[in-house]
Amino acid sequence: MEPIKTRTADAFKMSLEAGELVIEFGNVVGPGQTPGPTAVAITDRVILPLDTGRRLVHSLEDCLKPHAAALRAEEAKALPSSEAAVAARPGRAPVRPPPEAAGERAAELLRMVGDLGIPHHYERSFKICRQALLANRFLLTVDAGNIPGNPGERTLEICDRLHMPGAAREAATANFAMAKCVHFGFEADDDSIICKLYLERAVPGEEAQRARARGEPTLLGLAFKWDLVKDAAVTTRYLWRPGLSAAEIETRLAFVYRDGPRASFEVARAVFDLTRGRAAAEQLQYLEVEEAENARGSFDLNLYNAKLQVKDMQQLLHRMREHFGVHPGQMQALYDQIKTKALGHLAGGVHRNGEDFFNIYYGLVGLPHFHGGFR
Amino acid sequence: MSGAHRFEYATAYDPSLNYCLWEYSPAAPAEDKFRSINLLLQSFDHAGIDGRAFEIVEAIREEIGAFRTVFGIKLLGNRLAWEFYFYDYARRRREVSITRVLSAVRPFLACDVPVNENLPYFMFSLDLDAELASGRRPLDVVHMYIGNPGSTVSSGIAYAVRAEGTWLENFYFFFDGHSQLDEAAAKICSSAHFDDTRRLVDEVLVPELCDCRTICVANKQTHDCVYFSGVDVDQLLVFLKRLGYPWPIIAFVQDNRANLDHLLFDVGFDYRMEGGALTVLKSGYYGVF
Repeated sequence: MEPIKTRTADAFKMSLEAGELVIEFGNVVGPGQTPGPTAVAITDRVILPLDTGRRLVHSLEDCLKPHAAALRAEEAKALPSSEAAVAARPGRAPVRPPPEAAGERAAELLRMVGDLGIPHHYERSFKICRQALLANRFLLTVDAGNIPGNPGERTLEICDRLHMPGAAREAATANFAMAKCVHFGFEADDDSIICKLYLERAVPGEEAQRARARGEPTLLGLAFKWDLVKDAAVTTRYLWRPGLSAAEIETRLAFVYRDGPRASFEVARAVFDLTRGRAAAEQLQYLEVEEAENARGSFDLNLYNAKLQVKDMQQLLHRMREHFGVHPGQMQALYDQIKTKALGHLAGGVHRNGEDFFNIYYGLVGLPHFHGGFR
Repeated sequence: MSGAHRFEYATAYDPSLNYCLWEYSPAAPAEDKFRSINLLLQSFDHAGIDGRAFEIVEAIREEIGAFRTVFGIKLLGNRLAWEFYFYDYARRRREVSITRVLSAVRPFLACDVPVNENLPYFMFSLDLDAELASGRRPLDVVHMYIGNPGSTVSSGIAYAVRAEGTWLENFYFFFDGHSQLDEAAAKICSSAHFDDTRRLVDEVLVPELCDCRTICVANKQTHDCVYFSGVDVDQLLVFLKRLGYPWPIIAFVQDNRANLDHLLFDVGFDYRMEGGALTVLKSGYYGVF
């Protein structure tokens, strides 16, 4: 073992990457008096599991408590004298830059689901669409039967903290009884912070067989999605087409992309091709997705049974990147971190304006540990 | 999946490292351009090497992390071969050990070379060629590099470690490319393999390559070698053409010049005098993955 080196740092950046907290420490370079972003020379990068991160927050708060007054006084020096006296008063919120709203909301959701004290799944994803790669997305899944107390009330308490709109709340309440699994979703980019509640049914075997026999879909779940920034909300219906053969899945993909770019259909089909010889098509859950509020047509193909890794679709990720005009370095930075994660779902589709997208889900992990029970 | 399908692109966080894993300032903005590993992947494609070569690269990187392995692409006669170099200057407190890397590549490369991790080596290297990659023969040598205390310039000694024993291979001497050019020339001329009364030292200290960061001169058992560290993409092209690399290798660099112009490369060639002429025995260019 190398001896521990002691280094000082006066700057840090924290991010959530591939299900872990990444903290970069460094030092501000130069006097920092010139306009524009401050330069920081990064010296260390530390990766923490979320649970360790939570303990770190508590420890930091404990360490800072004795110094709170002095820190407030120091921060107040930068304020106009009229505000300084108020800011330095005990009990006032410390003066600090505006919080990063998306990060705070994501952390809040992680904390609230963690506080349920039950096993849950954590799954990351990224969305790729025209000139954008959005990696700040995740899904938390719990078995509704494990939620302590009144599962519906506890679930909606979490949604209330995330400012779920009234209409969506009413619909979720009315449909909660159908839920075998509850998924809490989060995604954010520069313009939006979207929270999601999914209610997933356990479709009875006979119902699935009936749907298969008739060649019709059956409702697997509902999702309520609301944007904290844009004040918009949608309700999404997930329709499962049980037991589709490989040819039938290809036919359905062709239907989804009937008005969309051929290149994306080819990529979706090529991802599906990766599963050949690894899992029977009938073992891959194929869903189609409807939203009453818009004409988006999309699909979701669960690939976990094929036991692929993200790196197995490296070439197809290149094709997606080129199709959507995403910067190669941006995609590479994400790919480096997730390439050995299990490949989970491929979702994709076409908006009414003809623009399309893919969502790739990966690296499902059980927290605090997974003991089976769902999926 | 071919090498081209595995191409990688520089991110905003990529370090710029030379063949000693010393950091340098990139020659141009790097983000979105090629990582140097693409040279390695393209050479695999050109050589038509067994697909296990790609898996060996991945296995090494997964074991010790990214940007910790130097690769060399070598031309021996008309055949390509490769070498991977590993550095850990912590010596006996090393994290990147021969044992660790051999363990990572064992599914692909059988190796019965005994390793003494108590030795103060700071670097080692493993060979790769078409036969090794396909599993047709085992890896029978590990090259181990040890410091050379007492030398007035930065220096190292290489040994070949085999199941049968350990043999002295090479001595390396490093010179600053700008301030120590004369010393490098003197070192080249102080050799049993080079007669500076019959050949100009410029044949070794190639003027087009001398504008670089570091020059290394090596004395090997049957010949000498010179390395130019920190040459730009145009100098790399000069090197590849001068040393007679296959046209697809040259064309790849030429066609992707704009994607490679942020990188500094390391190049070198082995030589000796034969019948009054300077003969190049092998050559190589280097990058990092």
